Amino acid sequence: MTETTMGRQVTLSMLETQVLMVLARADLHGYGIALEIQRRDPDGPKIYPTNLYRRLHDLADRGLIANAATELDDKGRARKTFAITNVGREALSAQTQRLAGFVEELRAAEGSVE
Amino acid sequence: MNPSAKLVSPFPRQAAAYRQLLRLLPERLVSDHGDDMIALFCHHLAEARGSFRAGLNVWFAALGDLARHGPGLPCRPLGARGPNRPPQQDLTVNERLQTLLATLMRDAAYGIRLLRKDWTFTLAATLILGLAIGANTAVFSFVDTYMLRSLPYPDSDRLGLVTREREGGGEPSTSQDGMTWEAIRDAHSDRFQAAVYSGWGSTANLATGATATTVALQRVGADYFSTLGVPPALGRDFTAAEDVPDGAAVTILSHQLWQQMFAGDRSAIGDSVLLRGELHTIVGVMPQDFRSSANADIWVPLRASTRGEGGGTNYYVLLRLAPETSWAEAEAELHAIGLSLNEQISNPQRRFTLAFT
Repeated sequence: MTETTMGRQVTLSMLETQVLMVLARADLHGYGIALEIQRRDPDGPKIYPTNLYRRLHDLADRGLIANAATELDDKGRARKTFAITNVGREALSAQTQRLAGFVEELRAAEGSVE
Repeated sequence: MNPSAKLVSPFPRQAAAYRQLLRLLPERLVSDHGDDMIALFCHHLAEARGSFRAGLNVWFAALGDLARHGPGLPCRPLGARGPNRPPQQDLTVNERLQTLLATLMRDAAYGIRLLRKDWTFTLAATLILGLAIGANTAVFSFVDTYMLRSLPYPDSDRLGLVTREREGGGEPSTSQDGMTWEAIRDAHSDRFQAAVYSGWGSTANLATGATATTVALQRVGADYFSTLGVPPALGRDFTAAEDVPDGAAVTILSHQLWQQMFAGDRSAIGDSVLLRGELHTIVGVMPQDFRSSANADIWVPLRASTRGEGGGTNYYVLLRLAPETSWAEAEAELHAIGLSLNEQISNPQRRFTLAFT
């Protein structure tokens, strides 16, 4: 899944797309991101920590997300949260259009089968 | 599901075990996000609660996750590169080198901070490293000097030292007495050239005119320098007539001493110096790069005898093989000399065999 954002090729995996989708609604820490993705897609594959943080690293390196703030939890522990950037929103928007086209193609194919 | 649910693990033991596994990942990632990672792992465990098999599957999946995605995770803080930073493939070679250098500097700084944090470890590590490097250097110096580097004399592979070994056994020794030296000298072998020298180097006071200094002295036989294959660069070698008891008091200087005491004046040959309070005539100066076994500054005749120090094994006998002679032939001759010496020794326990090393 490739789109052009700010003159650069941006490739988003399903998990990366889901991360951007969640962060487009609210800034969250990694644990919260995983729970929110699972809540929206309960039948999807489980998200394990190393994979999640590797994706977060990649997204941050590509400028699609950034550190937002450090929240204190109930026990007073600092939890670092992430926010989507403008570049990330552009990439997500491009991805949405691409997926919408893909879904249309799927429906057309489904219709021809029926 | 509340995303900001607090990080209280219902599986403390499994959470602790998973935390240990996370130590395989970059420390910065774990310190910043370790709690969130453990919380996510425990969330999967909670979903599998009640089923041993499902719990086991979570563990297998978590291990696979670590093995698959852990290697290569950056050590820098997540997001430290900042938004809108071009990806690595868009950087110029120069920018990549700068990035590499910056990473190296950060790693070095991190290492130094760790060392400062634990002084006991740093001290122990430094001591162990120092000892190990010192021991290695000593071993290498020994091997280099005695086994790898050849002697600084012409055809040094044809030089050897006479050894003696008690017939009853024991370690061979390179020390010889005066009687043995005289037997080798008087054999006038055409298979080797022999010279004697003292194994005891010493220091002596040397005075010339208004200058006085302490020098390293070595006593050597008349043919010592010619056997080594290095004649004096200036003047001459000791003669046989000088190398006898009550022979003329003569001396040969090293190049360095000649420069120091006489400023390289060639007319120093024939001059007299006061060595240990006795006047000695300078008959020669050795070449600049010459070094004897005792690293001496000055040499005087040994005047070997069979009495006094010659009554004990205080000499070394140097051999140079004659051209077209093998060591086996030389050893056969030494063996014969040893046998003739043994005939004069009544006590069988004191008999010995001569060889070379």
